Amino acid sequence: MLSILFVASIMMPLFLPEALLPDKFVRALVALTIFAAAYLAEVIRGGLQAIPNGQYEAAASLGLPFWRTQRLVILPQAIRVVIPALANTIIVMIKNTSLILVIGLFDLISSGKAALADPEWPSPAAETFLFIGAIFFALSFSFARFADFLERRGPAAH
Amino acid sequence: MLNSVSAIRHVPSLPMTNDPAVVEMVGVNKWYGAFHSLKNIDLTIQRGEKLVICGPSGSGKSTMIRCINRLEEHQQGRIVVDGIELTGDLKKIDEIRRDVGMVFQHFNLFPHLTILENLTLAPIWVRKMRRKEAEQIAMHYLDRVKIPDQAHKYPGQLSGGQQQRVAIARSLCMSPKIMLFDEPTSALDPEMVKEVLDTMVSLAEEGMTMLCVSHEMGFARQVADRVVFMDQGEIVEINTPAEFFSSPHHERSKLFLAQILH
Ligand SMILES: Nc1ncnc2c1ncn2[C@@H]1O[C@H](COP(=O)(O)OP(=O)(O)OP(=O)(O)O)[C@@H](O)[C@H]1O
Ligand SMILES: [Mg+2]
Repeated sequence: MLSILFVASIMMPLFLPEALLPDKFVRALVALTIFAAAYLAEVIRGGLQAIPNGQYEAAASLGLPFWRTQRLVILPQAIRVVIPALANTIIVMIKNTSLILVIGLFDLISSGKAALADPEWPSPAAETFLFIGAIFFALSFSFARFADFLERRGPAAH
Repeated sequence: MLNSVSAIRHVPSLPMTNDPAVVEMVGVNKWYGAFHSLKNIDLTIQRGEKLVICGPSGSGKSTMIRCINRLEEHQQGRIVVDGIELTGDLKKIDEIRRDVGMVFQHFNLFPHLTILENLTLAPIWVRKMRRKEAEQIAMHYLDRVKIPDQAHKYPGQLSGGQQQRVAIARSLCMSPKIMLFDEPTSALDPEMVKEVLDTMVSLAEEGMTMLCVSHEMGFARQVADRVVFMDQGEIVEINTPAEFFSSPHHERSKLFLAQILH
């Protein structure tokens, strides 16, 4: 995670001419996206491996072509299996956004700190951090509940 | 003799005699690595015929019927299903699979779909049927396997016997020309075997072409036109059920029958 951010923020400018270089924020965004995608793909791969061969065979024996099978039979089951792991990964990613601090961008926490340091805008430290905490909590908690809802939908686990 | 041949020529709708075979296997060989799992299989199945395949564990029964819809690939020989030869051509494979139903030992229903959705999935996405029509057909077949009241449940909520009947109905919804059964009752509790066999018997009585891997002798006697006995990847004996079970021709068949009869 950190190394990808460093590549995006420090190495890329060494390779690319100024004109082709995207904004620092865009680079951080792309880095985070790639990182998240790799993790999510890994989680979903785990789900795919949990699907027994018989499901592929049953779909094939009905004449469903490969991509139809993936979309209608395999993925719905695979994703359902990994909803908890998927939710975990996404919540970790939300918190990981703080790491962009190391390349000099402001995340939620460092924005709070910046506000504290601003003499023009006196703000009490405790409340600032409580508020930031509340935002993180709201994001993570609502996502966890959403995952819970997804998991409960459809056939009961057996 | 000559007379009867010309008589057949004038009656084109006469079944079996002038119909091409539904399944034709000629000199089929298959290997798993170095292991020779099918050895020179020659088998021709006529329309409407019912075959029961039996043999010891590992004799290649599953492998053979799975070659017919290409769940397994054969390496040598020819397999022609309903006039289409099985080659690497994916289009043809899907075409054959549409018309060949298969029922598995472990049902393999789609657990994330309701019974009705299990039955309509392929008709809608493969046959491009409208949902309404597919559901009508699905209900018709659920009626036939005697569980129309379970249509909106999920597979996990049904008993093994009910699940297997759903699996049969799911195949029938595609109006297959042949049905393959791979030990459809051997994963069932004894009290559920009968309901599944009854379903299969009534299917046989309606003239479905059937290939069943099964050790249910009662079923074989009742519906089979021929019994195919396999051992070590070979077809050892093909016989009528009456003769096969009372006086089999081959030593290996006798040995096998002695074992399953204790
Ligand atoms: N994927 C595979 N890889 C290697 N060997 C296999 C594979 N599938 C089957 N075999 C071997 O091929 C032989 C035939 O298997 P098959 O499943 O057709 O037997 P069967 O007659 O159906 O037996 P059973 O009554 O146990 O189902 C067995 O010896 C088995 O070990
Ligand atoms: Mg088998």
